Amino acid sequence: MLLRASSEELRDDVDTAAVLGSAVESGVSAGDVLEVYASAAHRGEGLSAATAALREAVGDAGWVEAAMTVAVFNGLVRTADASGIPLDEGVVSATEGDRNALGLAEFGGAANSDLSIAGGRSPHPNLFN
Amino acid sequence: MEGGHRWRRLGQRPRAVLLPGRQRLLGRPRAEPIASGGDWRSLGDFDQVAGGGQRWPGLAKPPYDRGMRFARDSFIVGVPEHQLATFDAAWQWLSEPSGAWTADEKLAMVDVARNASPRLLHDRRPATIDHLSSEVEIGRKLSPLVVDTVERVAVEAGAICREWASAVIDVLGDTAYAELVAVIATVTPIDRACELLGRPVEPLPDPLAGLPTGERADPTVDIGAYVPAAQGFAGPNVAKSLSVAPTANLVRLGVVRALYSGTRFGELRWDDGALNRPQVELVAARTSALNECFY
Repeated sequence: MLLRASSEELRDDVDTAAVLGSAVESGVSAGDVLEVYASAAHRGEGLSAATAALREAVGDAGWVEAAMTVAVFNGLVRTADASGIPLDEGVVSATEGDRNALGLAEFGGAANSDLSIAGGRSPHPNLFN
Repeated sequence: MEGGHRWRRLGQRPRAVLLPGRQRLLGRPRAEPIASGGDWRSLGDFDQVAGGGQRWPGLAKPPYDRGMRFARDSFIVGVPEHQLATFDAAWQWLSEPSGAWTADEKLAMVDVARNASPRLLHDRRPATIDHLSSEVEIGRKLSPLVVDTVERVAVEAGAICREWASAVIDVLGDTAYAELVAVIATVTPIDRACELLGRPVEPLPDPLAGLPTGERADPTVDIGAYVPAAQGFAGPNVAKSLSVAPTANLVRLGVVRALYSGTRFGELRWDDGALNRPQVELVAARTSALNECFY
């Protein structure tokens, strides 16, 4: 959701299928090295090469931000799955298309949300403030 | 009342050393070497109190000397100071008793999580807890049930189901479960950041004595999750998910804010960092997909 929304803000045409590691171009600047880095960071394979390519593309500061993003989302996914939280109101309808296209309902956490809800308000803007 | 002077050997984990008599070296920021080959740093006097623990006159709580912890030069690349400070604050929280757990227990959870690894498909844990004792065996710090719960949260969170979680929470209580999750959710990002940025994970702090505080949000509200949330907690479900344990949840969110969005979450354009928002969200989404997290 936020990938699509933030890309549209920059007038980038994003293909969210890239988050599943498919061989599509994400449409995000340096998206290929970022995707490879995130995958390598998770699997522990090819991390050195992926890090070198990332640093070449986005610099050390970009590498730090990417690493911190990988790190923090390793905490967030455990929080979400272990607490059993459902999708927020409004997110269900806002993400229906992408969720169906990406087959996300196969993930176990889908059972915590009522995906039959239609309509709804916009997602809450201040998620972590 | 027995007491002593607490020293910290620079570069090592702090430990209390009872020196002959009471050493009064207050006001001296650095001590003369008292052991061959080592430099020691004075942290001040303490009194040993009945029932265990230490009392530090004049201090609200024992001094936590960040010292070498998360030192900037321990990373092979520059890490923003506010992120290091957040790591340090999390380590401080780990070293203290919380609402449902002693510091010893929380640190033992981290140890379990750090040594956990996903099981092969044929060896996956059943979604029951009947075979797991909730009693702590002599010589151990955690019950088999808690150890199993920590391992699942640490390496198999995507397989957690409501049936299993409800059974665990019926035994442990919602606050204890929320804090357990918060421990894992707080330490995991910090450990991963260390590993990805070229340094070992940080050694754990020494536990401070004390019993659980009993802190729990009141009133609470059902948000459809496995545990209730603090009533009136603003934000999305992932922010309020562990708010039944207020302090644990705030520590966790502090790490999230420092490593992710700061105060910018409501803005779709992030122009002040090395990565723009779509770049960050691509990494975030890919990481979430690899962890098979639906939310």
